[in-house]
Amino acid sequence: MELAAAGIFHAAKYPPARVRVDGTAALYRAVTRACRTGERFPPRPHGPARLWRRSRASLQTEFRGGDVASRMNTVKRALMTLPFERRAALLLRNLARLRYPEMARALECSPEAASRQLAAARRQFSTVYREIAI
Amino acid sequence: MKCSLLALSSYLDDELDPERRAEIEAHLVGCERCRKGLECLREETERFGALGRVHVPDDAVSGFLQQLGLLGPGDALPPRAPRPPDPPGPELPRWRGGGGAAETLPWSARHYPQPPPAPPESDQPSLPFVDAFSPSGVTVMAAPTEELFEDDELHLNGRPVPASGPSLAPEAVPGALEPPAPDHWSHGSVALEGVGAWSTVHPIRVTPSGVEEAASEAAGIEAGAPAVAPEPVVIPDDILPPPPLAPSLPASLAPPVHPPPPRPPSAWPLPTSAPLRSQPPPSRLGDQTWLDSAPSAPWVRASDDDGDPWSWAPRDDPVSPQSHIHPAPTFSVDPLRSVPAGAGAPPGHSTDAEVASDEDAAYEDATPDPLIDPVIARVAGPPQPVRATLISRLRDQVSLRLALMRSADGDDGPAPAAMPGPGHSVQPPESAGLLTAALRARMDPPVDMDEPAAPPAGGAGPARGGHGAERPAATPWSGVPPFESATIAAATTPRVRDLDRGPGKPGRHTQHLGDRRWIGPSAGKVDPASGRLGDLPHRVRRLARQPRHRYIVLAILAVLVVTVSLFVTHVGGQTPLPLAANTGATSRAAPHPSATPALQPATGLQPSASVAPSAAPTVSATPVPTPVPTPVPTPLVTTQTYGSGGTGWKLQELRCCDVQAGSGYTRVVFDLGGASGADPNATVSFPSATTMVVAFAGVSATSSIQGDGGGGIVTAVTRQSGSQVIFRLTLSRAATVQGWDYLGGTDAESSAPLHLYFDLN
Repeated sequence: MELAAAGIFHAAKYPPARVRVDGTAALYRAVTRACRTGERFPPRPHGPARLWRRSRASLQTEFRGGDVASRMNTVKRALMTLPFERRAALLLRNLARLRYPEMARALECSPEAASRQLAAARRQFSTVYREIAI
Repeated sequence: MKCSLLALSSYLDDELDPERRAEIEAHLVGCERCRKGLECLREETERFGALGRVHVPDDAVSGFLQQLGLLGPGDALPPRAPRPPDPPGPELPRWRGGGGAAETLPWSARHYPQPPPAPPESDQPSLPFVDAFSPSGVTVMAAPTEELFEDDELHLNGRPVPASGPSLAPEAVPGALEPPAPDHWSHGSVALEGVGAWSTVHPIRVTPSGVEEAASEAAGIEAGAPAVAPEPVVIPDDILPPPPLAPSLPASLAPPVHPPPPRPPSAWPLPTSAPLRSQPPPSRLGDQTWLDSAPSAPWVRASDDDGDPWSWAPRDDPVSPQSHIHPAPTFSVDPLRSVPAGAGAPPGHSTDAEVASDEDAAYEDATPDPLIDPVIARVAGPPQPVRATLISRLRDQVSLRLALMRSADGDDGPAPAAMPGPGHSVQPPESAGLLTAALRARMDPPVDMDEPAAPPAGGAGPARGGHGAERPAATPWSGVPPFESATIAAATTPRVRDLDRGPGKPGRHTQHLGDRRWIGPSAGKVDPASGRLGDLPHRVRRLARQPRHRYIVLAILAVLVVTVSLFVTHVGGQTPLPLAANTGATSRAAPHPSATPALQPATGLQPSASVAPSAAPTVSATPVPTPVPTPVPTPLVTTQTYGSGGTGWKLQELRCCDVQAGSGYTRVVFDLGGASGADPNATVSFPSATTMVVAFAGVSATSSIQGDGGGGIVTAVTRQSGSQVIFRLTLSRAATVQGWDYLGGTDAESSAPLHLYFDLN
């Protein structure tokens, strides 16, 4: 959630020039960018201070869906093996339900590249999931 | 078109233009692999619906937006966007792939639930599928009207699609011969098989047992002649993918290219009355309904012989033409599974009734296909080479070192190859390599009779061999369960943690986590202090483990120690440096605590004449001119000049007096007169410790002034002959000039205008 908060913060700080065109995809792009770079909000201190000082989370969240914990764990572990771009493409498509042009704006690539990433991610995810899940 | 994963993925996401979509749908009709691949992709999509959701409460959102400055303190939150529809996840019935345990592939072995009860006979007048043997290689099966999914909603991409669409009526395929569609084809289905090699013509029945006759009647087919096709739909080959099998032979004369499926009849996992969905005629290709119903249709799972689950995907390497030939069982065999015995089934399949009665056994795929079921593959599949991971390499190293230590201890047992001793029940697996066998032999050597038995360390180990009773534990490893294998055993799937750990160095996210990837006793455990100081010991240990960093740390410590010692030495105690004045005479003397630097001359760059008063060994201040035994071998001649260079002065008188008898000082006063202005120069030197010479420049004196009898420590004053006025003062002890000045004005004892005095002590 720190990463998501960083994305929202960045989107709020630097609003896109084409709000009408980008729409929600701008927010997803900011969040994707924050996840890629590891940027967090509130930012973590650098240097030795981060050993003992951790800022409070800005977004308090609740987790729902504990009944499917085991499967979620498997899905998550399979997802963690994917490269970032593929993982982002898979999540943006399957969870955020973005269309290909919106995915392209979020991933900062062309729609064709987004579709390729998504197809490759599906293939790799299936392979890894098959190996993990027993 | 070629099989393409990209196209399938885009098709699944409904991102294609209609022409391309129609192409793919037409391709899906004839391509078995793509159908399976699409189903696999669909299952993956459904799998993401099982992920847990993170819910952010409204107050947290408003607080966060206020923190960002996007929302005022009193503002209300904007309305939430409509949540995207949930994918059909666990709420799906199991036979559609939802819920239950993870099912990775659509053709893996499944345990089907209890099939839904068959509807009453009057409601569902099921008709047998009638197989037709088409001379053009296209077999069309007609199914009579079935209202199976009339009121059901079929889901495609999470969107409900009504099963009963407007295009229920068969339409003409362009370019195809118009099939004489019977009247009961309102919901009829046509299955197209691009494989034109159906050698065996069997009646196909999918309905529960006992209704086939009525179904046949409803279909207008006479009972007892189920093999008669009503009217086969013949579609020319130019609109369908060419049959990949035996294209040169006319299909009508083609011998059976596919042998009958090699599976035993009991291996078919189809439920007896599984909802076999009707397939639309090819004129309804634009309808998505039958595509969505594909996962539940048995013909998807019917041909499981495709070994590679991803063989449908385009490959980089050229595929041999043989790989296109899939000995896929087709409809001619598959629906027969549900035909009860004696109802027109071939005699070779007469065991179907027992299979149908025992459903659990029937639904299990007993055929160990290693590429279908990973569980079965681990049991019966061929050993797969497992690439070396970090864990396996570490285990290899540890076991090798243990073995070397063991051999270095002097336990030169027999050769490892001949190792297994009497009663050594644990044998290395055949799949393990030579290293494994050698290491196992090293780890568990047989008891050597020549060696004295070591006392058992903890408890009696398992007795080994015939002599194990006397000496239960000869090695420290005897009580330990035998080492499984030095490497990850072959025929094992890669472990989850190996997959999690992954290759390569950790990325920046992991470095942010504090490098908790280390392998140790606390690996994987997260203590509450983790993230704050929890990983500090790991960091320190990692730092200390590298010798280069250790050297750097040691160098920094050494520099610190040197700096601190220098600081303490030079700043803390300021030792008084020995002054050079009268050094030879006062080398033994302690420094005078009452030295007055205010009496020092302004030109005192040479501090010789003013400081370091000497505590002479002779304490007596008697004027007796006794030669003082000065131990100074070479008297230091120091010279000091006072005055500002005035001339024309005339020395009038010379006086010496003891200011304070005993411990006081002796003052020598020169009375000058006859001029005014600048003070004359007087040069004072000490040729020896007890001799003081005062030479004037620019001062004249009458010859009557020869000297004085002295006073205090001055015992005699002598004037040297010559043009310059020079007086030699003989001191009774070693002394230095403590003070001097030119004083103007008359004195009580002298009327001279200028007086130069020296204080000697």
